[in-house]
Amino acid sequence: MDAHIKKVYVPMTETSFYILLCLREPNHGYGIVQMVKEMTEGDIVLAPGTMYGSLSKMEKDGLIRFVREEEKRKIYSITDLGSEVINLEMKRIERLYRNMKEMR
Amino acid sequence: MMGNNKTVFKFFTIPQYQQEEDYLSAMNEKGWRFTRVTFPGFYHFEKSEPERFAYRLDYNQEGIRNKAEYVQMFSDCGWEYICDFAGYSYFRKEGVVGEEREEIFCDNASRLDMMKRAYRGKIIPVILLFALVIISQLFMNTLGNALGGYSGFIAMEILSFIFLGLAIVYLVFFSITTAHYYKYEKQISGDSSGFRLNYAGVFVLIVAMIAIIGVVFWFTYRWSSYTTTEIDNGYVNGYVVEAKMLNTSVIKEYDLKKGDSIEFHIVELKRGHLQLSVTENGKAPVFFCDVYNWGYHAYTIQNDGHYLIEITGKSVTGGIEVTIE
Repeated sequence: MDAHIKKVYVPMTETSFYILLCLREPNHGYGIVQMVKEMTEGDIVLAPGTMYGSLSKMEKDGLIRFVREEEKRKIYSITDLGSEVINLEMKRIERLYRNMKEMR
Repeated sequence: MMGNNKTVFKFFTIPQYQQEEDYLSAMNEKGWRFTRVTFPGFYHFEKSEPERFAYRLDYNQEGIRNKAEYVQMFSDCGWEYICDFAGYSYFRKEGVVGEEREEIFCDNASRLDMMKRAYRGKIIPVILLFALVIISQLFMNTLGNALGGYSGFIAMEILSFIFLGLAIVYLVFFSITTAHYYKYEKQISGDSSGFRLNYAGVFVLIVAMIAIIGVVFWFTYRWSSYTTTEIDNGYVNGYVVEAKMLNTSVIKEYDLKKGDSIEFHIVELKRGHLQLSVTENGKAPVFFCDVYNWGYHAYTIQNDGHYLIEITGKSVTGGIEVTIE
């Protein structure tokens, strides 16, 4: 993993995290928005400007790849690099969570 | 009577998009529904019922290139697409009174990314304009001559001044934008030391460009390098001016008699233009001409007197021989 990826994605924004998490199954932008809304009981509603910008940026950076287009919606899925990045991020969050639990 | 359409001219810099959004919402509440925006900043409205709409701007060239898919994403999220202008896409959504401001960006990182895209998009024209100024300055004479002597020369000169004017106007707007952007970035990210370097870089670039233009102008209009050599072989006297760059007047004084002939041989005129004149002391010139090409010009003295022979060059590279018989 090169320095640029590390700098931009570790740690990553909540939006980026949810995108990578959801794209372990191929999905389109609005599909991710709905999934996240459901997962967070409506607390997190990802906005379209953020989604569009993040998806094209992540595609350019090789974290996700374009699979196919369906009814004017681009379907993406995570790449090996993307999995590597989200695994790093998960470890970081797990440690955060563990420490939080211990200190409480 | 008011018509059913209305056009207003407004100028917003990149980081002022929020003011722009609020302005469009306010217009809509007053019964003017935004329809489109045209160059260089005319906002068109049509009469409607007072409505409550939230307007939002996104800057995404990639989105504009993949319009259908881009617009689909927004419409899935309930945003109606209105138009594009200067790289921006305009969206609106019907707003509910008292509800929180709904955004098309849900985090600051992506909002800042949008501003960066917009900012980058606006730097390119600055560089282009400056390049045009420099190029037209550098090749003014050669191109001017190729375009056809004097008129070509003037055309190039006018053109380069237009470019310079445009570049300066753009630079002013660009500086305002940079200042706004900087303030905005600080407000969003708190610490912006990493970005400060970027601004410094941009300004160094711009200052360097201005410096280059300055040097080019200075060389074109101010700097002179030439030699004059006297000729005196008994029956003909005079002098030769050999100029690498002549931007000044070479004046020689002679006591001349009626019937003396002054001849100017333009031995070589690689670039620039010359003015030749013969003036009797304290009077109007008796001979005057503009020269853009190689050639031969002569004047025969009508009255005895003390004369000034003047050769004035503008960006001249060449050789001029003056003989008096």
